[in-house]
Amino acid sequence: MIQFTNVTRYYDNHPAVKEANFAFHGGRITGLLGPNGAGKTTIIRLLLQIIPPDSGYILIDGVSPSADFSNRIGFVPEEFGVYKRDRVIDVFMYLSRLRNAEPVTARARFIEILEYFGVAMLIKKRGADISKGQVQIMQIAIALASDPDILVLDEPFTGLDPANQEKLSILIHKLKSRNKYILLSTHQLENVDNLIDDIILLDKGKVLFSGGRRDFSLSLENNYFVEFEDIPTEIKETEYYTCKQLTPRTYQIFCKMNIEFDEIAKSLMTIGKILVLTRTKNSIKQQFLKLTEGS
Amino acid sequence: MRKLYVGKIAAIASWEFRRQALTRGWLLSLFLLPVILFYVFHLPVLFDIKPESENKYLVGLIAEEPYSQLQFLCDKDSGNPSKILFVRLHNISRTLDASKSIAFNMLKQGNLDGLLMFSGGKAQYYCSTVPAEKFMSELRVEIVKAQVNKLSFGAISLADEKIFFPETKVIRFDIAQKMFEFKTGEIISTLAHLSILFFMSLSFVAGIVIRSFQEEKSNKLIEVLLSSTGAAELSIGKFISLFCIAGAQLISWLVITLGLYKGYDLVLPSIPALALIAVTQISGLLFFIALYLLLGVRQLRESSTQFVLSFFSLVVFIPNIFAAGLVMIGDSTIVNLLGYMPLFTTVTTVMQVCVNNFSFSEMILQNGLLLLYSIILLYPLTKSDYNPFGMFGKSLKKSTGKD
Repeated sequence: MIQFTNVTRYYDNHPAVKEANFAFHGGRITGLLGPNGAGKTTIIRLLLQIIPPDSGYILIDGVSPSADFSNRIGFVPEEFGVYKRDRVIDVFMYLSRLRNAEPVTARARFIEILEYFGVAMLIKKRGADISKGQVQIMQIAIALASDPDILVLDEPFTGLDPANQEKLSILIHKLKSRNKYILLSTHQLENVDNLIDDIILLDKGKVLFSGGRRDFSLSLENNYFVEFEDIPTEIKETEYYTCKQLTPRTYQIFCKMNIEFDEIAKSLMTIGKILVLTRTKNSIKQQFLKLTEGS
Repeated sequence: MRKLYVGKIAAIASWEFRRQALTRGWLLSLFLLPVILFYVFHLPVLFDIKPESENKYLVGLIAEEPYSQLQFLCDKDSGNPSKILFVRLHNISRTLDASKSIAFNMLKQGNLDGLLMFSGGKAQYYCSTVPAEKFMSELRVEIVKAQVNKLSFGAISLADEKIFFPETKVIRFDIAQKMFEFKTGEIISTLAHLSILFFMSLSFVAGIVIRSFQEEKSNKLIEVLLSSTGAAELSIGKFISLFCIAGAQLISWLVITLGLYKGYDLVLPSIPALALIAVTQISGLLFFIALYLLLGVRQLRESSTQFVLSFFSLVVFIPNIFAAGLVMIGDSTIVNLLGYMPLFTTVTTVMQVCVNNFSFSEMILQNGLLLLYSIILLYPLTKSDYNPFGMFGKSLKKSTGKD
């Protein structure tokens, strides 16, 4: 388990992360979510030991990170650049040496991952000659080639086409099954809705939520789908809910507070005869928007 | 304290060396640049017509009183070939004692074959060709024959042990004067050349470091590197590669430059003088880097940074050239002044640290300090016979025929 306890980090007297308390576990995919400036990058830098916390502490399996902790981490940064003049394979070999990876095995694994994404020809190309998506694949391959225990992915889907996004999701699931720690930071919430198991939601440096995906969805009031038998009279926004018309006879109801099923049913029956009324879960995106409303 | 991984340091150092050094541009600069620089600075000297000095002895001459008489001899003797060329040195500095001191240094460095001093109708002669134990001892000679009208001149030692002047001894001031001017040009070219060589070498290295960090910072590679290794390993690795790059470059440049000097038989400055040139340039560069770190990285946009860096490098570089020139001339008081240069650079740097941002008024203040520093270095030069402004004035008068 990786545990952040009361971790605070300031930049120029401004708290980028304030008293963060959360934990994430091996064998689970943890989403690190939050609007721009929420402190996600600072959390990642703290975990990678690029910067130390001003207060609080980070424990890995109950102990402080050891000196060779960096060898256990694979990191895919957002908008990763390349050494333009150097060949991809040379850059990989250099970064592998820094991770103390066994060169022959790491090289084989690197090529295997490139082949999985269908870009094995990258190996002899120079940084200046490859596309943005290929750079992203290269970085993913570099991060995974040393078979790290902890994988930190910052916007890993950026620049990938839908086919490769799908391949990446499958790859992440495979790593999860091998009990790896996976921390995934992204704004592309649609991509991760069915991927992540746990969520850490940040806003303005504070942890708003930390826990399981299911708890996250239920943490706010639920929404409803309603279908009327006939076209109803116009549904107006009330103090309890707002709504969005999907078809002439169907609506999505967004509750502003926790309302019992019976209450909402009673209220809607005054508008028209109800054919179907079902509770719907918020998507991660909806929950994210609700929780970070006003940021 | 965090443990350092030697393997990672070695990996970083070798990667950086390969990336920064083993490029076509760098390899070309390693061999071509010193050659180009040499010819840029020495071409006028190399093409200058040298006097026929190969078989002649160059003797320095310092006369207290009978100078006008010697001048008369010289004027009468134009066109008469001689094996001895006399270089007039009595007004090389402000005082006669200072001139003597400089003349002795020239004798020691092998720039003169001998040194003749006239005083009260007698001469003291110092010769660098006598054995070492007698070198510093005074060999007193008398002018035994001075047939002014027949334009011959000779000297013999009092002990009658040795005749120091071979056969016909005719003083030819006109040729000697030309010879001296030739040497002056050579000295100025040499010091400018060596100064810029040091400065460029150091600037190249500083540029490599800055480029390296900038590239990795701008494309976020630095985060990947720091997630794989510590900042200490990264810095040490880069420093080692830098040391190797700088060392290889400096050695190559020096070997090529010294080879060219040897090949063209040009006079090199002494080791202490070279060391002082290096110190002045290193101080200037440290100042330059400090400014970069304090101003450039955080507070200025790239275009402004480049402007400021170019501006300051120019301001720092020009006085350094003159400072190196002063070292070459070898006036001890001026050399002492050079010791204050690091102090001035430190003061300006500390000021920058205190101010810690950049505005027009601060720039004026900073440049004021640099100007002050330049004046302090330049002022003694203007008082010597090597006053560049005076020399320019003289040559102007000569060319226009006005006296």
